[in-house]
Amino acid sequence: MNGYGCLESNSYGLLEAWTYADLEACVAPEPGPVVLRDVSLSVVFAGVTLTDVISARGQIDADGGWPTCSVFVTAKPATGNEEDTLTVTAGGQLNTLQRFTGRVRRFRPSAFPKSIEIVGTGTLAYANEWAPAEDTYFDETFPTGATDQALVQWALDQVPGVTYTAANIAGTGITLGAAAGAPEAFDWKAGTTAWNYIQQLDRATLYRTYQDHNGEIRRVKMIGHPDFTEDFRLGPEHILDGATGNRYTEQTRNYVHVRGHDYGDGLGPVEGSASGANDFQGDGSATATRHGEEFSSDLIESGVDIDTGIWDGSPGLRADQIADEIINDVNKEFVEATVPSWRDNLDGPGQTVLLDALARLAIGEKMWLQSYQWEFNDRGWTATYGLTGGGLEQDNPPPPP
Amino acid sequence: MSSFQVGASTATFRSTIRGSRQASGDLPQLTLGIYFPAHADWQALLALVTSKYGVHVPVGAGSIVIDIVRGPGAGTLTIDGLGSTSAILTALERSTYTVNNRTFGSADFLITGTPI
Repeated sequence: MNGYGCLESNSYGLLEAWTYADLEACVAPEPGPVVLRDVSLSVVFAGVTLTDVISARGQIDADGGWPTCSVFVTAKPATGNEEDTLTVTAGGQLNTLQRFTGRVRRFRPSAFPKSIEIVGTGTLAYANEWAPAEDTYFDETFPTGATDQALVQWALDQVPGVTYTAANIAGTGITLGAAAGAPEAFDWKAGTTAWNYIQQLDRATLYRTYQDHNGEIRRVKMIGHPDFTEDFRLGPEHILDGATGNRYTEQTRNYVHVRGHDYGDGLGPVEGSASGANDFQGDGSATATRHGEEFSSDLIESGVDIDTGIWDGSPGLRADQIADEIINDVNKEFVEATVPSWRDNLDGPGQTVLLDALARLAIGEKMWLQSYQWEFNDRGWTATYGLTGGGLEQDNPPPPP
Repeated sequence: MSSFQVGASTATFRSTIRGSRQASGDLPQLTLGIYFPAHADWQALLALVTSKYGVHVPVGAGSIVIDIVRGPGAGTLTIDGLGSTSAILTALERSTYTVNNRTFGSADFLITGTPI
């Protein structure tokens, strides 16, 4: 029905002052509970805009490292081959944004119905395919040691086809490999891919290296806690059918023991520990109620006397400080969720999401966005958020999405 | 006469009681029986069909989100004697042909405004 109510509720004097457009707006059909959006998908491959795109989907995962994307077309494009650039722009009219750029690595044809899947990945994937032909000795390259961010940049520098902005490769700033007897732990062995080498550094420092939707390689601190401030909220009005949640304590631990480099002096690896307490396991500092988590990395050069807590004075990463960070990640109720949504904003790993779905998913708290999947097909746009959380919030500002 | 207008394009047609029906759903659906006096009437309405669209229905309260993938999208549907509302023309059919290019068919609308 027309909205004549708004005419009736105004005086003749006021109506006289209205423009025709005011009147037209007044008698226009009343809006229903519907949001309409024009969605679009544009794919450019090898510099040519494809005109036969059926659908596309992509994913960015903080643990996966590089973004992936699949574009489905009716036939192999006349122009372009593997290693050419693929760029996908998609979304509603207010958020028609670049969702992926990378290189085509594979064509996957189907005979019937005839179609071909163009598979692209971010260039960081090259790091998983390149390894040095012979051992690289750390102390020959970095006689006085190097920070973890410098080492990651150095590893990326070796990989053909990979570019990055140095300012986007963050790190602890701690000089590694400077302790006498420890540098061999940082040697880059022949056959170890650049990605594996970077992952060893990431694991020891609790940072993650990944590539975003624009192809920027970033290294940021990502642990299992959300920031104090959410970047956006996902409520029932955003959540589509198929959302699931998971709360569990099987992996909850109230004590963390970290082992680092073994200098071969008979004292064993450097070590450190941290304890916490929770309602059902009790106090982790007491042996009787201890539920331990073991973490080891040969790149941790320093530690403390596990009984006295006295620091050994060695440079590099400290096992006790790593333990202090990990305890917050495990002394908690683990919370996970997978949430499909119609939301088409530009989102990405590392953001803090307030999942406001206590009634439906038993989750009403800030969570960390770990993976982000999107899909555009003949039913429009959907995104799926992979969220992890639990524990306490902390000051952990997110990287750009 | 009835009409369906999307932007600057308007199609006028004669809706018939026979063949018209309504159905409930996430959004109300309205099928109108239609009499096309001339082929041009069919063509005018055909140009306003949205053939690909997706309806996202959040699990909780909140707006239903409709993605218009292919076609002009929502417009104003005005039915003589019933009123008007916003709608998407999702399908059009001609099933009966008579002399002098006159045809009968039906049009399916997804009501995005106030139900009528």
